Amino acid sequence: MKTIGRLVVESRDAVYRFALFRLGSRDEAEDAVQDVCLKLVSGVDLASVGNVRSYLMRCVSNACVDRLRSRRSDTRPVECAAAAEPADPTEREAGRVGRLLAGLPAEQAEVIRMRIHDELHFTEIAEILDIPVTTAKSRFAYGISKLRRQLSAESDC
Amino acid sequence: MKCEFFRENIWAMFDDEASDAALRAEMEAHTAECAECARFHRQTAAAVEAVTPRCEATAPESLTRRIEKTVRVSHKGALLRSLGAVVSVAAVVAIVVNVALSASPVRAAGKCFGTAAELFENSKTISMLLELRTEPTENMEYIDPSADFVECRLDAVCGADAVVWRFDKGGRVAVSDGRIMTQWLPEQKRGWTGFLCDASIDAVMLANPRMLMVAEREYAATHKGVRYDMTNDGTTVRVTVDAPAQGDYSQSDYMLNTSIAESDNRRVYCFDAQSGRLLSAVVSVRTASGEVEVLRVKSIAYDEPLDAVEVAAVPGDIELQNMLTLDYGSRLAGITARQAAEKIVRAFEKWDAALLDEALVYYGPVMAKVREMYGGSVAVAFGEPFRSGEYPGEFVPVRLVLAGGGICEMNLALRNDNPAGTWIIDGGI
Repeated sequence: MKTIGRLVVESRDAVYRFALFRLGSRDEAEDAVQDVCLKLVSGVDLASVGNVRSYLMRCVSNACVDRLRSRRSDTRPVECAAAAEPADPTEREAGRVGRLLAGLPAEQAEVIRMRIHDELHFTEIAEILDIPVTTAKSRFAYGISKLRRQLSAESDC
Repeated sequence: MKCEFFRENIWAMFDDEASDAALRAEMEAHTAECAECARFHRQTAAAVEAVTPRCEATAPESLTRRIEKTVRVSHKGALLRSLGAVVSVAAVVAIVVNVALSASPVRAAGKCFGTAAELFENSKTISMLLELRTEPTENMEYIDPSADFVECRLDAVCGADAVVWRFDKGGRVAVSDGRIMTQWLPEQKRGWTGFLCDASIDAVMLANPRMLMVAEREYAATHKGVRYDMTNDGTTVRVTVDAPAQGDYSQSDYMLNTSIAESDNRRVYCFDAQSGRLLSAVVSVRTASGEVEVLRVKSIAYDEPLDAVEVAAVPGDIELQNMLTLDYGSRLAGITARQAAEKIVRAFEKWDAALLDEALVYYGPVMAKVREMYGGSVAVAFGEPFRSGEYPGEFVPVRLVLAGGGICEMNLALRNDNPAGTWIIDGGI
């Protein structure tokens, strides 16, 4: 059985990327991952956890949701943050992708992110989001079809 | 297959789970028969491509350190409860390397470098002999593909919070206590101290294997125009990085091939597949006359008995200038690089010490030598300033008649990115 410390060290790139593309800020992503790390090493027994990778991603996902909720009303989430272009290329990329996904329902955008950005399988996505696998797949299909139409319309203009 | 079914199950074309392989095969067959669904698939793939990140984002070094620190603290606690829970670093690395090899090449290379960086930190000491095509007294990052190889030695002692190292290329030696870097010219018994190590990764990259691995990892994260290739024969993981020259050469290629970063280069690293340790490294640059090896590691020894105090020691007879307490002055602020160059070079003639002490503030330890070379010289021509490569300032072409009568042509390197905003010379003479 892996220790949670080893799991976090091995998965640091994946969890950081996960947080970055949801929060749009390197600093916030670092803080979110560090918060999760601190919380987990302080007393989670992985023996009681089924899929540890999914569990870790769910923890990071929850930490990102908490941070997005606690942002002050004058701070907009990455989907809407179009004003100042960040100097960091990864933040810029998070902003670009966020703007593309901004037109989709949040739950569809989240499944697309998990599948494409985080390279999670639909079974893992279902486990993290606590939804049936068929729901995860249909959210992806509906979301990506909407995005396809959106991009087609833009290219027609 | 009905078109409606194909569209509802389009998700299957963008997943690689084995359990859906049969469905995928059926759908692929359908696209060969149905032009409409093939078009639908192409447009959906374009939508997926549009939201696929175009650059890699890997955990920054600062986060890695924070996590490792947290985990270390946690391990110390665990150690008190159960010694059996302690896992060797080598085992962790073997897992990481194996995981890395199953991921995408760019991400895998990034992980591999990250793993090697961890190993450098976890090894107690490293001693490396390498050969570099450079000038023995030049800056650490300087290379010259046409120069002979210079033998260099690196010794590093890895502590819990810092790597103490010494890089000796004969004509110039640099040491770092993990926080501050000091370098000196042994023959002249003069040197400089106060370089903040975190702020000068490029400068110490060759000298600090951990930073080299960290830098490669950061490189793997952005990989603009960079190609990675990774092979594993079971005993050795070989990572090849083909990278274009960094910097802007639209005005001039003057700085091209003066450092590895400013060259079209190929870096080949070999890691032990089990431990993740770096076994060898060769760096080549592509010049007009072909590919030239500029750096090759001859040997790497881990955990040799080295003393950190001795490694970081600076001989007592070296006169050092502290870069953290420089007085930049303001005589050359608020003007262009060309105007600054004219003032500086004209000050050579009668040696205007007040102005030259400011303009040549970096040259304090070797000022007597500079005066010997350029004192009494007369400027006869100035060219148009230009920028090149990654240099943050400008180059001003100058032609001088030296005091002895000879003609000297140079490109003065001038920068004003200091707190005073004043132009200073940091190269070209």
